[in-house]
Amino acid sequence: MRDTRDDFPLLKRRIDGHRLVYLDSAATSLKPQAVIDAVTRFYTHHTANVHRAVHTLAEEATELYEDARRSLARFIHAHENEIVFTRGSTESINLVRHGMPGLRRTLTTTLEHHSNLLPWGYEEQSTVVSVDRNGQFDMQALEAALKQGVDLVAFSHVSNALGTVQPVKELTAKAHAAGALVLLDAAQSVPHMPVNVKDLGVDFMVFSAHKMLGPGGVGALYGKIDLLERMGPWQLGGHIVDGVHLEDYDLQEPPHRFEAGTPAIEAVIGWGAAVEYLSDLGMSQVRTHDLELVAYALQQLAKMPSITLLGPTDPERRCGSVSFHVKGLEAHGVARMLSNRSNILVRSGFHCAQPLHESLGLLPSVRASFYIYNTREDIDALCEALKAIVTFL
Amino acid sequence: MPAVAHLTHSRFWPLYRGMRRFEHLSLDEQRAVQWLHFADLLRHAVEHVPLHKQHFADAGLTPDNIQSFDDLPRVPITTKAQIQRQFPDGVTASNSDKANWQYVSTRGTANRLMAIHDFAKRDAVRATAVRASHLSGDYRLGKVSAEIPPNICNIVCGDEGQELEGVLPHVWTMVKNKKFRDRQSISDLRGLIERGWIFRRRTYPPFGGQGTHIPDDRLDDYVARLRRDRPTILKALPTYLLQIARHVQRKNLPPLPVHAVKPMGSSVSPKMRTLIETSFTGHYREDYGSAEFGDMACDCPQRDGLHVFMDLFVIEVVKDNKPVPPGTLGKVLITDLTNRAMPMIRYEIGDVGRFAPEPCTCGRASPRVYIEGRLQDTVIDDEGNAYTNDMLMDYFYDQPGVDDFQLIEKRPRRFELLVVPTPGGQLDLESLTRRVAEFLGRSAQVQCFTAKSIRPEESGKFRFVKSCTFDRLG
Repeated sequence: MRDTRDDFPLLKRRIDGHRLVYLDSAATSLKPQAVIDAVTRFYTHHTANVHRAVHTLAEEATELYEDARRSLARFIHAHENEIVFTRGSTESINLVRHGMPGLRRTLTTTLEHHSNLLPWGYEEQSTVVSVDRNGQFDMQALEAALKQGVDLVAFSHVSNALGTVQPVKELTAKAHAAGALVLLDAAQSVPHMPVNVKDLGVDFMVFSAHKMLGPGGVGALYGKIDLLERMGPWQLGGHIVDGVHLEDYDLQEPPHRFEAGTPAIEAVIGWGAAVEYLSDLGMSQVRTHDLELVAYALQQLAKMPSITLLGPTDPERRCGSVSFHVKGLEAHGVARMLSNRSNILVRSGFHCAQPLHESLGLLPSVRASFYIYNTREDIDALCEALKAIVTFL
Repeated sequence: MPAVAHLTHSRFWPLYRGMRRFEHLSLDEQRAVQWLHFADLLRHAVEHVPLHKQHFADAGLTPDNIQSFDDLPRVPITTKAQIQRQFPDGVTASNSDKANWQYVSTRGTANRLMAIHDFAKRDAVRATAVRASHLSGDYRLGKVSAEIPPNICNIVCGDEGQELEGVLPHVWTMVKNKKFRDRQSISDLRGLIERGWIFRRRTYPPFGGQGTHIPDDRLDDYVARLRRDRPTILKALPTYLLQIARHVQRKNLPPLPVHAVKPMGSSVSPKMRTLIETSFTGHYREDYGSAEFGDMACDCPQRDGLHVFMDLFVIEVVKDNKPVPPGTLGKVLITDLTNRAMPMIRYEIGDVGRFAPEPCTCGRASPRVYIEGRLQDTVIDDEGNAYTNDMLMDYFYDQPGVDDFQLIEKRPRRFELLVVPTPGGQLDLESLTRRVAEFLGRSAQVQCFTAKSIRPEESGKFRFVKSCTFDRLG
């Protein structure tokens, strides 16, 4: 993959004369100039609402907006009417939770981000399957629960805390065989690897723009069209209807019936630019780059006796991040020192996966997460800074 | 406590006794001891700590150039940014035994700082805490103390260190894991015994993210806990104390049985003190401390300023790095005389204050300092007049219909005022806006809004004034 660092203006920023080493892309990614330009261009030349007026600007804005939907659909091998724009992965999950009829018995796992646990895990007929220290599901418990009858299985493709990649096809096949639908939280996978929803076979998939170079405030729900047609809107308002009468109203076809009110137009258009940017790079190359970085990080960090790595040791079973503990130091202390001393920006804490940490008896951890603009030099800088810190323990 | 201390290398008791004796020395005697400690620390820091070595080299100085406290302005100031940038290797002593280190994290309102304490510093912090509680609050070991700490984020962040296990479960864990001689386990046990059995400290839950104003039933819960525990000392965020005090008054409840009420994290303005005192049986008392330093000063029965612990700290009040005369407001600098692992010399702690011009009538010789709030919470007008956090609090709490407030200086002289109206009170927003603009001086523009509560900062503490002109103080 080509060197992309020059495409990211933020990487030119210096703090106290030193460069930034951004290792927090699992929280949100940096934005390339192409995305910034697309958003600026919309503001400068095309500002208008979408799907409403017939004037020139409105038609241009609508075209740009729907073009982004088409790009996104192609990116994950879906049809454009299977892409619903939402405020993010969390809202996408909640849309299924509240919009899909007949979801009484649900199954999720302790590995999940709070956004994929809270909507499912606390109902009377919900099952939460545990995972081991590598983030692998307790398959016996999962199969036993499926035998009991489950309406929907919700799990993440890639764990935001451990980096574990799940065998989605295999798990989806098991769920389908038991008559359950599958919702895949792909917030941490779509930015990093080729994802083909048809090949994976999942029924729903959720992901967000801001983790894949796009603007904040927008995400998507992919849903098989027959399922989306069975779903009702979660929010009511403008644009979702074909006709409104005092007695009743007629809903639009999906995806528009789920997009009430004025959407985040410029964010969607910026996301479209991000998808084009990633497509130009090639997602296979993005995944290869990611694997190289993860493998290198695992290798380098494993050399330090004070570091305890979390999650799988095989880089092929991971994606995008490496989490670890530093002996004798709490995670926030490590993160603060890395930031203050060396402008190395990592995440610390539970990473919105508190039940995972609690169930495995893990303290809050440090997470270094990578993306296309990261290099081996960034990981070297992280290791050097960690060495300097642990030397003093 | 002596028995527990005997299990470790703790020098708590001799230190504590020495501190008590020190309080009876004359000012000259105290200053002489302080100078000896300071000169020794300076030599140690310049020899062993890269930051201070560099500071002195850059200034073309050696420790011998600093002959008395009159030379203090020649010693370079240490900033939070410098500490953060070079922590830990650049700011710690190369000859310090790392096995004795403990990392200490402050929950600063503006920025978090990490510090390192060695065993001796930890002992000093413990002994000073007891000294401050005794001198300012009549606390004696074995009596109950209570605290309401700031709210922290645990769900996302996973902050550590707040949940403490009991003494007996800890002993059981030591027995189970055969860790009778494990240094850390013994140290933890000592800490738990100190906290639970000797200090008998009760920790109540914080108000939470809702902010200053919480429902009555939750305030009732604090009232019930305080009536049950009857602590000698209650330490809490000033906002918490104020809200509990107001609740007691609103409900016409008898005063709460607490001997001494102390603020945590920041000070309380003079008028707030009066309000708090009417709702508790005891007095409002005050000390000055932080996680990285421990207690640095405390009040006396006169309750007029805080006596500096001169055996442990040098506290300066400066403007443009020059000491200001007593009574004049300036930035507070701290030199910690007991932390040799991570010497902090003329550290700009981010507070503003002034020294009392006269000696105290209580008989204690050490100078008194008034801490008037955070530097970043100090508004400076075009004429250079400073409006400290305390001044602004007193002003706003005196305004009819104002239960709480937050004043944000968005741009120089452009203010946004958030007001929580007094329940059942009458708030004339227009008139208040006019008065506030007048109070803040010529050219101040104020926009006023109402709110149900003032929300805490991410640190869990509250900031009622946010200034963008504080750096005009010099």
